[in-house]
Amino acid sequence: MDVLQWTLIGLAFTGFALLWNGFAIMEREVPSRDAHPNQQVGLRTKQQQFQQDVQLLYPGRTVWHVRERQLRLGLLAWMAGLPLGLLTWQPGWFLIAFLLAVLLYAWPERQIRKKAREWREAWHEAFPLLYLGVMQRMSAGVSPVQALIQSRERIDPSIRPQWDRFIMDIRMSGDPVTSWRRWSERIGSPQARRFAALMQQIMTVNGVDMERQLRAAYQLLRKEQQEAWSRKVRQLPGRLQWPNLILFANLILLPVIGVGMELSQHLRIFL
Amino acid sequence: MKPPWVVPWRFFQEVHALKLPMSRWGYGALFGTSGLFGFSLGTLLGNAALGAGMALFFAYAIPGEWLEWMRQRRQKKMRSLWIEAVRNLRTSYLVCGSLRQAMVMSLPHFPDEVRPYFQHMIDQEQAGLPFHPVMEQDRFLLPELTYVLELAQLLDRVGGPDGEMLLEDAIDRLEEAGRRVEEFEQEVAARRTETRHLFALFLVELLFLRLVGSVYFSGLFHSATGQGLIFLCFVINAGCFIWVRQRIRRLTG
Repeated sequence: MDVLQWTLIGLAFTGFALLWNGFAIMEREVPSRDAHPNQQVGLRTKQQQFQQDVQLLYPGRTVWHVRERQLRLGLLAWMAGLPLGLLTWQPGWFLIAFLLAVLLYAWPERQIRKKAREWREAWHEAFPLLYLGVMQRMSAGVSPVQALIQSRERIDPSIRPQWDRFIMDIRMSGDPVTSWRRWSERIGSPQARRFAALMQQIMTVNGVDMERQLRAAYQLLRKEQQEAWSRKVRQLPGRLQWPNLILFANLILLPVIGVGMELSQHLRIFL
Repeated sequence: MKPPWVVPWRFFQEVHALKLPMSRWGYGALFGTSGLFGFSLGTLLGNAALGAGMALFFAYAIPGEWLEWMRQRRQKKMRSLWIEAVRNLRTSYLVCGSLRQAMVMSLPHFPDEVRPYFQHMIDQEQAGLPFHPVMEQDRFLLPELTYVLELAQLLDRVGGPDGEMLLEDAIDRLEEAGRRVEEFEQEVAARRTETRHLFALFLVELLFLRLVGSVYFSGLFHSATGQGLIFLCFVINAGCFIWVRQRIRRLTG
């Protein structure tokens, strides 16, 4: 293939990336919860999940902002490699530029997903202790807000700033309903929504049997966590099947290719 | 903290947590022997490049696998000891209603491996220092201990009538972790063994073909393309092996 063909292939890929972005981002605004009803039951598409991740890390921003940055980085790498390819007429430069562009394009998304997953896991770990901490302190006569403030140390240091901001919000706004809703929407997990609903109820409604409710919610959370872990374990053998299949294929194919190489040498003599 | 480019810090951290009598020299010997084995095998099968690749891989995999085996054994033992200790503590707490008192009362009845931690906490308390359990080693070995100790701290600070429930919860957590490990072993052990065997079989196959020296495989061992192919297959296999290991580790860690 000559350089012109490589350039055309490269441009086709660039066009495809642009089109894909154009189609994937249908909305520039932060979607409301009602816009994606599947989100309520955890059946989210990859795109919606990424939107949730962006919202968790950068409140008020959308996937569009990240995609824009990704595209800029990818195009930058491609534009840097393109002149080298055109000047040297070496197809390898186009390939390197393309691979670099793909890598740089994927990097911000990967980082955001990773960080959001870590934060979610930290919250996942924190909820049982939050329940117990609040329950124990409230049964000792501490007010709900004070119980929440004192539970700060039970939270992983990576998510503590989020918790501090929330506590500040709840103390300054004077409207626990809005504060809890904002917080649970930002975390975006069913556990957060349940905790927020329960605490909001405890803070706004008098005469609720708080201890019993908190204990029931805590038991439910524990059960959910156990089930989630079992599900992950049951899924793991299926996921580990692929590397084993590759190992098996290598085991079979390498000698076959070896014999094939030798035979092709002999056949070449006769042909 | 030691810089990671001088020693593999995580390996030492685990060795320390498992209380294995292994110094840096010991690790150096294990690392060196594994690497040397990999290098010899690689040079025998291909060339120096394959040898270097295999040396790196075996220096990573052999100490890691050995440590994993030791970790599983130690974890099982320590978990059962901790369950016993927390049960003792709960019984004492029911009698005296204070965690510190309960620790003093149950100290003689704790298993030997666990007693020093509680002794340390009691000493700290007598010296007027804040209640801060130092069990970093066992926390590393049994991640669920972090939760148990958080509960203990909560119980110590707040107290309250539901203290017994917190200790019950701690026991439940430890027992659940044991059940999880069993469940995990049942589900995943077969696949992990499969990975190990397939990886080893690939090397045995190559070694066999090399030693037999059949003319049909001379293209594989005596040409640059063949050498490149072997190297590529090895890199893919090593990648699969490490991927499986990391995947399992992420779930059990």
